[in-house]
Amino acid sequence: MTSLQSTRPLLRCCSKVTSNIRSLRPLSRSFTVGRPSTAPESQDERKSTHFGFKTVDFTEKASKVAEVFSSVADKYDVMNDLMSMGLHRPWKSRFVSLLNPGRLPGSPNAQQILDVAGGTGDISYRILEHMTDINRDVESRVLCTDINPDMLREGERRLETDPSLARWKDRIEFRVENAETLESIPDNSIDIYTVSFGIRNVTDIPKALRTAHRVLKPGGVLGVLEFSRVKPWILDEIYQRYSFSVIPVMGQIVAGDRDSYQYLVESIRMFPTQARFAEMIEEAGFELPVGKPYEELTFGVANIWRGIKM
Amino acid sequence: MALRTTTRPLLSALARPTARSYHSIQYPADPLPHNKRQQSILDAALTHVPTYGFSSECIAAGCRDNGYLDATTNLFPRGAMDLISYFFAKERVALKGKAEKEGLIGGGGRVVGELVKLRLKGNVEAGVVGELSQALAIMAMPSNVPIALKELSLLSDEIWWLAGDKSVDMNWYTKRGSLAAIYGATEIFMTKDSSPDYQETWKFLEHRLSDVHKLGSVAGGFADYASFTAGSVISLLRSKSLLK
Repeated sequence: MTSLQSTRPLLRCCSKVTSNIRSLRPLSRSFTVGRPSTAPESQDERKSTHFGFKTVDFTEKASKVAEVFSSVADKYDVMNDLMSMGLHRPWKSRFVSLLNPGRLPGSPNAQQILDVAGGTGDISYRILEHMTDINRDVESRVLCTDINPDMLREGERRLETDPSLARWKDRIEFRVENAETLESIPDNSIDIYTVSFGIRNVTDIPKALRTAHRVLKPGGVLGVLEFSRVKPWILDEIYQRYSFSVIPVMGQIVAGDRDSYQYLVESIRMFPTQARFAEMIEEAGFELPVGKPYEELTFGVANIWRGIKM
Repeated sequence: MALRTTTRPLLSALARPTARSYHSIQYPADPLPHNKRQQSILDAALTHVPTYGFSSECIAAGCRDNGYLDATTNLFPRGAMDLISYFFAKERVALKGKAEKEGLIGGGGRVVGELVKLRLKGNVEAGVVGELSQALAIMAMPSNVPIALKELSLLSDEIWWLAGDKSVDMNWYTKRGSLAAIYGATEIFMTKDSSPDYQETWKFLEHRLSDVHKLGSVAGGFADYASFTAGSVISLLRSKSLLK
């Protein structure tokens, strides 16, 4: 990426201009735009990982991520709407309809869905809705887990306060679980495992993927919705500019927490490319969908990967 | 990126189209793009086609038959189209064995009709003729057209290859193009044919083949005429020292 930038003199002078403008505004600090100081692949030493662009100790990341999400939990859904300009809704709908949860006609068994890093229950409720309204399945259940109790409380609060969600009370359960271990979940017990905008925050991603493989039944599917790389470079340039200059400020104004959203945009930048993440899924023992290892949404801003345990 | 793909052959193989669009003596024929487990799911799914039609329900049933789950259908991201293209590819690959049994290998242009007939009889044997119009409709959806056309061209190449065609000129293309058109038309005719043993379909096929034969000789005549005229023009220009 850095070598790419040097070949774009026009854009570079643009960035000079914008950084000048930026220095005039009191709200924004000086920071490099979308350029991690170290390459994403340089995290070979076992004991350290990245927290945004910073390199932190392996044990430290979890607590730092916990801080971030505890601080934004109550504003999480509002911020999602603002930051993605509402796009996270169609992304999530697409994600759920692709996975097509719910028992199909002629199927003997109800399904058990596991929503990891489910937080405020956004995906879990969509899954229940899809199962019931599309596939006419009124039995299959969802287990919504998150490592952060504050985020889970937000999901439970929605279940209590939102009358449209009241019908799911008997079919959803909330539980605090670490995605790397999923200790309370037995082997070969899950039909569909979903993780939406969460895998990025896990300290040891390969370990979480192996655990997903462990808990899934043979034939079960892992569905991941996550940010990755935007393809035509011109759109990527716009996207980077938007995420590094607008989102942290938005976080400051709406959630009163700039650092958390600075972490958010940096962590997106550090996530592997679409192809590399598909490989990581394969390395964990999954089979990728035939001929289509992943699906890009909105030029690769968000992406859906699926892995099938065979 | 280029560097990345070279170090990761597995995924780059997925991303690249793996099959060649023609036969070559130098390279062995490409196998189907599915592994054994996927094939057994799709084979089981095909047995449900007479009941459910070419649909994702078949794939779900095929998954269950193999001891997998409804969710396993995620393995086939194009749904019904994955089943359809598997069916056509499987029938295409099976054609060689059937042609050997019938002694049609290397029979030249006159066995082409027989080979088409043999391939279409595969639809009858699989019991899917009633569902073919649905399959063709799905194949005609814009996102599926490239896959369908590729399969059609592979089949028409396969048939000419089995017939022993060795042409290396423009005929290579015209033969395959016209055969693809005939095959497509005959298959569509077949979906609406209610005559016993599909007699009307075979008649239709014969007529189309003889049309091409006539058209071929007209085209050949035109080519002769054109090359003669071009030769004369060049000779004329040379005689006037305008061309060396």
